[in-house]
Amino acid sequence: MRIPVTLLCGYLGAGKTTVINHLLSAPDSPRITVLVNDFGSINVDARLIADRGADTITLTNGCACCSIDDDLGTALQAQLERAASIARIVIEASGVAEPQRLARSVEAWPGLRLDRIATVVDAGAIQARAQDKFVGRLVRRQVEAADAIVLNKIDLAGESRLAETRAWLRTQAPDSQFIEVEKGAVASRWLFGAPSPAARRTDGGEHTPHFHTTTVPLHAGLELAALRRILVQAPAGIHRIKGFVRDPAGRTMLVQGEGGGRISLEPYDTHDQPAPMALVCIATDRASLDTLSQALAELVHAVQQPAHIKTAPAT
Amino acid sequence: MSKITVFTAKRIRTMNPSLPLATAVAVRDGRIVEVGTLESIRPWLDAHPHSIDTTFRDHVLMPGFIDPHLHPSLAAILLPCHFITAMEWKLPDRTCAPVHGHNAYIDRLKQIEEGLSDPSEPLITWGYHKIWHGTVDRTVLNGISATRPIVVWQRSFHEVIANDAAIAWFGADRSMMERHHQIDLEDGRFYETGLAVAMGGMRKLLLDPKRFRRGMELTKSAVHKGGHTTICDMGLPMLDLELEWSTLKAVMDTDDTPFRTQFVARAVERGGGLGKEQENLERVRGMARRNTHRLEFRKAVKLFTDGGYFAELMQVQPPGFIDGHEGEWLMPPEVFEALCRLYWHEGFRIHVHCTGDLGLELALDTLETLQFERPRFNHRFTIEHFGLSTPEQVRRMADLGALASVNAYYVHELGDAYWKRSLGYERASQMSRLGTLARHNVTTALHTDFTMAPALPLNSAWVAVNRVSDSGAVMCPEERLSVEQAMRAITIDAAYVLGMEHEVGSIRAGKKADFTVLEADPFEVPPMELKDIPIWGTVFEGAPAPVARG
Repeated sequence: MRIPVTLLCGYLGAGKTTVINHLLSAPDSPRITVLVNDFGSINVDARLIADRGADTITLTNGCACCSIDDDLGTALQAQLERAASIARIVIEASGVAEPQRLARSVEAWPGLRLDRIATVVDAGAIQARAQDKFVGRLVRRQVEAADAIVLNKIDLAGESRLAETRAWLRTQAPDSQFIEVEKGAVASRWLFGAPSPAARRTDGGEHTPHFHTTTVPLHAGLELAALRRILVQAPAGIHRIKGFVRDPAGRTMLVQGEGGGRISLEPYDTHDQPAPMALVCIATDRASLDTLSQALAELVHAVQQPAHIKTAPAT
Repeated sequence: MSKITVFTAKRIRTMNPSLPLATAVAVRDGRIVEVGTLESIRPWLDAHPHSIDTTFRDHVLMPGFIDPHLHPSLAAILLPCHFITAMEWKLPDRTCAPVHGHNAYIDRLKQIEEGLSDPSEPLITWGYHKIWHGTVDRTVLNGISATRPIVVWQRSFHEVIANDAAIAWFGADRSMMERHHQIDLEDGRFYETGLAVAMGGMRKLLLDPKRFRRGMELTKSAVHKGGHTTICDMGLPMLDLELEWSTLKAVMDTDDTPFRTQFVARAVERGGGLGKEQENLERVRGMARRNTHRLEFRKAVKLFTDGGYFAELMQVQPPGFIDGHEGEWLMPPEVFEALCRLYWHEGFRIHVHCTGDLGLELALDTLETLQFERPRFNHRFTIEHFGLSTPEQVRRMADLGALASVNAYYVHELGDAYWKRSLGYERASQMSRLGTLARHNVTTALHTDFTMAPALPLNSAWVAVNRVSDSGAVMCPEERLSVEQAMRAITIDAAYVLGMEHEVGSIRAGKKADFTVLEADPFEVPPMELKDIPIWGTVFEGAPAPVARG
C-alpha cells in the first residue's frame, strides 16, 4: 500500500505555515506526518507536544512534523522507514516549487502516491502576485495545478477585493475546489482523499513523458463489479484513474487507480459537498485513453438500457 | 631582508597600461620590487645584493592567471573518474582526446576496463552524451564486463547508466528499483529522482575521504597546470564543510602549493532563509577565523537567483524556451532581496549566480532598489556566469556599477545545442555577451566554474576571442573580446572582481610576485591558437614552480 501524499503549495506569505499549525493541532487529523521547510516557525499548543527533537516534533494525537532541511529526498526516505505508523504525508512545498515537477517526483517515489495538490493563496495578494514580473507565471501554475485552492486571509482582503479574487480564480482553475478560510483554519478533509475532477495539468517538461487526460462523466448508478473489471483491465498506457461514481443504491464511491491493475473502490463520505460524478483518466498515450473511454461508455450504455424500462420512480 | 632575484624574460606583458612591456622584473620576499629593463632597475641592483635568473630568457611572462569562480570540491569528486568526453579535456594526469561516435566510445570504455588491475574496482566514467556517443545501455555495458560495476555518468550530471554489477553494487532494494518510475532497469538508466537512488549507492565511493583527498590533489595539479596563481572557490560549503575544509587544508595549504585560494561563503545554509539573517551573517563572518596565508575568506558572499545553465533551468524572459518548459528560481525573489539587503548594508561584496536573463533582471532590480536605499560606490556586486542577457541589461549593469564574471565556455560547448534545440540562433549565439560588456566598460572576468569547463584560462580566453562552437560555427562575432580584453579578464580584471587588484593581477612594483610563464606571446599567436600556447609553469610569490612534464 502506497502512502498518500498531499502537496501543500503556495507562494511565500500565502499562509502555508498557519495551515500546517492548524492541521497538526486538529483532533481529526491523526497520524499525519508533515514535512516542512521552515521548522522553526512551527508553533502548536505545547500541551499537544509529546516530544520535541532537533528536526522532529511528535504530537500526542499521533501526528509528527519534520524538517525538510533542503533535502526532500532524505526527509521522505526517513519517513518511509517508519511507514507503518504513518497514515498520510503532507509536504510543504517550497514557495518557488514548480507543482507539477514536484508532483512527478512524488508519483515516482517508491512507496508514495500523490493524493492531492492543495494550493494556499493570500486572498488579498494573489492577483497582484500572479502578475509579478518574476514569479507571476509560477504563481499561476501553482493555482492551475491545484485540486483544492485554500483562499486564505479572507478577513483581511475586503469584500470587493474578495469577490474579484474569487471570480478571477474561477477563470484560472475552473475545476478546482475552493475553500475560504481565515488564519489558515482549513478542515483537514479538504486536503485529503477527495479528488477533484480537475485533470492534473502537466506542463510537458523536457525530461518527462507527456500525459494525456480525459474526464468521463458517469452519472448513472454503476455495477461496481463490472466497473472494476473494466478498470483492472485498462490498457497499459493508463497512468492514473481517479474520481467518483454512484453505485446502484445511490452511494457515492471513491475510485482510485494507479495503472497496472491496482484499483480501489470505496464508499466515500462527501460531507454534504456536491461530488462530481466522473472519472479523470490520465494516460501516456491517446489510444489508451480512447480504449478506456469506449469501455466506460459501453458500461454506461448497458445500465441505461434497463433504466429506460423502469423510469417511473416508486411513489 | 632577503636578496633580490631578477627574472629576465624574452618579454613581460605586465597588464599595467602605464608600462605594458618589460624584460626584467626584480623580486624580493615574494613581492615585486621593480619591473622594467636591466638598465632601468639598476638603482635597486646597485643598492642591494641580488642575483639574475635567466631561466625565462626564451619565455613570455604574464601576471599569474586568476580564475575567480571554480569549485575544488566538485572537481575532487569528478577528477578520479574516467573521462570519456566529446570535447578535449586536458587534465593533470592525462589529456582526454575527444571521442566521437558510438564505436569509438565503446572501444575507449573497453580499453579503460582492461587497464584496471583490481577486478572488483568500480569503473565510473563521466562525459557521456547521447548526441555524440549514441545509445549506451545496460546490455552494452554488461558486454564490457559482467562482474565489474560500470557506471556511465552523463555530461550534464542528470543521468547515470549502469551494468548489472553496478546495479547490484548500488545496494538498493531490487523491487523498489523495479517499481521506480524514473529507473529503467531494463536499460539500466537512473534519472531525475531515480538518480538519487544511484547516487546513494555511489556516495560510499565518491565521498570516501581517501578518494576525495586524491581528487583534491588532482585538482591542485590541474589548477597549477592551467597557469593559475590565484583561484576563488565561489560558494563554500558545497557538500560538507568540515570534510571539505580539512581536505583543502591538507592539500592546498602546504608550502609547495603554488597558488592561493580565496573562498566566498554561501549567504545561506541549508534550511536558511527569512528569519535567520543574523545567524547567517554571523556564520559568514565567522568563516574568516579559518584564514591562513594561502586560504582566505574575505568580506564577500555568494547568492543565487535561477537554476543551472547546463540543466536548462535558467529563468528566461519571453519568449522562453522552444519546448515551453520553465526554468527555476533557487529562492523566492523576496528572500533573495532580503539577503542581498542584509549583506549590502553590512558592506559585503555580493556575487550572484545568474544564468538566464530573467534571473539577471531580478539581480539588477534588486541592486537598483539597494542603490536607492543606500548608495554605495565600489561595491563590486558581481553577476556570476552571465549565460543569457540583453544589451539593455548590460547598460543597466554599467549604470548600477555591477561587474561580470562570465563563463565563456557555454558558447563553445552549448552554442550548437541551444541554437538548434533550446533557444534558437539569435539568443543562443549571443549567450555570454562579452563584447557588449566591453563596449559599456563593465569590468569583466572570465571563469570556468570548473568542472563545468576545463580549468584553463587560456582556453576561456580562446573562446571569448573566437566564439567558435564545437561544430566550428562562429557564434555572434559582435560579442567577441579582443585579445587585450580577454587577457585582462583572466588577470587584472579578475583580480578586481575578487577585490585583490592592489595585490595581484598585473606586474608592477609592490604587488605579489606571481607570474605565469608561457612559451609564446598570446598577443602574437593567431587567435585560434591561443588555447594551445604551452605553459612552462608559474612563479608564485617569487618561487618558480614548473609544471611536471609528460
